[in-house]
Amino acid sequence: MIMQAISMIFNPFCLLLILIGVIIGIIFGAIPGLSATMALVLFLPMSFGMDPMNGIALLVGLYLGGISGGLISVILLKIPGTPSSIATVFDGGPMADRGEAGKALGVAILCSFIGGLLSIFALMFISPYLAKITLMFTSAEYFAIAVFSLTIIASLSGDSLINGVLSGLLGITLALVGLAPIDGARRFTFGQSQLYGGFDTVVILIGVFAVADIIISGFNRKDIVSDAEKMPYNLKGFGISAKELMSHWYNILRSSLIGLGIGILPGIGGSTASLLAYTAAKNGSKYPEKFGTGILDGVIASETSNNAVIGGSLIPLITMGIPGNVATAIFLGGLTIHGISPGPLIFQKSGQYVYGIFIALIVANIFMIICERAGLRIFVKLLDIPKYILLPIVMVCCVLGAYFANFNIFDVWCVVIFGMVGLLFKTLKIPSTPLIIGFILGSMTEENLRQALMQSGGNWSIFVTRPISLVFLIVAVLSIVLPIIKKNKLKKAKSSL
Amino acid sequence: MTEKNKNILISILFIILGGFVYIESLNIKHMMHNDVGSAFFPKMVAAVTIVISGVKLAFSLKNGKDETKSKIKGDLAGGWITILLLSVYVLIFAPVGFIISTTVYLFLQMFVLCPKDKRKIPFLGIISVATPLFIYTLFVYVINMPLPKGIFGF
Repeated sequence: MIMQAISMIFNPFCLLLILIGVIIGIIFGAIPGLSATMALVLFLPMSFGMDPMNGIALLVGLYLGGISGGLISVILLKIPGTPSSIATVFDGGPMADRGEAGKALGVAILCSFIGGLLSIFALMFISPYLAKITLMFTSAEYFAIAVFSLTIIASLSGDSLINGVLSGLLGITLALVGLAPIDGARRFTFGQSQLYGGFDTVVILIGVFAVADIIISGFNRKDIVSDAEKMPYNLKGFGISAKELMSHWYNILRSSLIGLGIGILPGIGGSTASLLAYTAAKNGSKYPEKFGTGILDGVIASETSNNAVIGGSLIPLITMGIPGNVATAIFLGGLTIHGISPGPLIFQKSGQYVYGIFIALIVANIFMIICERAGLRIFVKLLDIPKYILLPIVMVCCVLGAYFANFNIFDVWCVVIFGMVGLLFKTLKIPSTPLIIGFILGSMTEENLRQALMQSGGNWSIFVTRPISLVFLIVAVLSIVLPIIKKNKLKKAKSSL
Repeated sequence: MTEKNKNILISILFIILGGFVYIESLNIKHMMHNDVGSAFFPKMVAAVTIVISGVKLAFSLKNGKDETKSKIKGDLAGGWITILLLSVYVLIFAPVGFIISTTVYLFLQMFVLCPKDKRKIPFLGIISVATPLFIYTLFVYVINMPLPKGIFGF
């Protein structure tokens, strides 16, 4: 079956389809407002008419290209082209401001490749075993994971923990707007039908990061010209030596595992994976204070993990037929239309296609690194455009990104309103990252809390009697308490000197 | 504004937010018997917000005099005009249509941000017209994603 799969993939037409898929995917991923999901939706009907393997290969290329394309706009323009690139903004953005955009991009591309490859191997070799474990996860476990992920706020708050927590709470509050989970009650909609669906993550992201940045450059317009003179760079390879890359091996491995794990769990997604990997890298680092100022460690963690999600998310899809996110749900549609039904029997029934998917993923990953590396010089040239021309055009892209989120003019207004919120936060020195984290995790926390309590008949002990949930909650408490103890010790040591 | 005043302002803003969310969630109907209800989580979030901002307020009031003033750098006109342009742009985006609103916004925004000695009106004009035309063609005709046409029908 493996030989059959190899011969199906390595025919020129199929390879060409993967290449086209990857290129279109990268473009969709890089343009704010267009996403990997949208690329899959647009090309799904086209894949129906093709031979099964060719159709699936095209979808694989689109999915992989779409996820990794987000790194381009996030580093160059601070607009996350896809939500899974969100944590790349924290260090990739400052690196680009310093004139190191080429290096940040090079490393991000390389790490996307490594993360993707590791997760594909995991998908090939350990998927059936992993899938069994995740079946044991109920809403109690999901709630515990959400709480654990929320503790990230503590380590991403910068100087003021309390301001960070307040920012996170505002994020959770914003997530409350719209129809409530479980019973669909209308909350905080004030009679406005546009608010029923709640705010879109992309709208808040673009507003708080990109639009706020543009307004601030309006206040600093006198410095805008000197900024435009970039320092010359000479980029060879991926901007990082093999030795330097090896020094980050632990970060790469850990981030891949986090991405893989989050990918396997349905419904969490790449944005949480990149945030978790970023925090793990920060907490495990010898120089956590440098995170957020533009260091490679942050870019590596985020980009490795979000691509590792790809292999992870295909594990429950292929072995159990459970799509963990919208993109894999469309992928599932593509498989079933060709008569391939994912589930425990897929290896026996359509083994050649499963191996075909594995090989197509590896090929797509290789095409991705080649295409992005080849385009790197062109991407970086974007920043040579004077800022007084580039920023207004970026603003137009922001408006487009918001509009395409739901084809709704209301979202366009929101983007400017959230831009003002971002500006207010900057002026009052409130960190804006926790707001995004709170928003992304807010509804997941509430939904699983309520579901778990319904299962247990209102008994809160369900969260501590289930072992996996208990472990996550203990780790959550430790990840808040330990840094505080560490800080106090440092203070005492300093005052005794 | 001094750092102390800034902290007091933050605390008060968040106490108001928490109070507002709490009061609003009193109106949410409880629909299912075995569920804690859709008002439970908002109330919890609101209560935590009020407690934490209350603690912050107490701390900031207790901390003695703090005269470190944070300087407001930069030029206020540039910032406020940018905000004004942005607001007008998104308001006329749908009624006037993508092409015209974007052309006008791009030209004015570039004019505001551009240093006086580099303002080449024809050059800025060409970019302001070409960019929206390119984007419109790409999205509407190539990718097939509609953009607002506005009153003039294009």
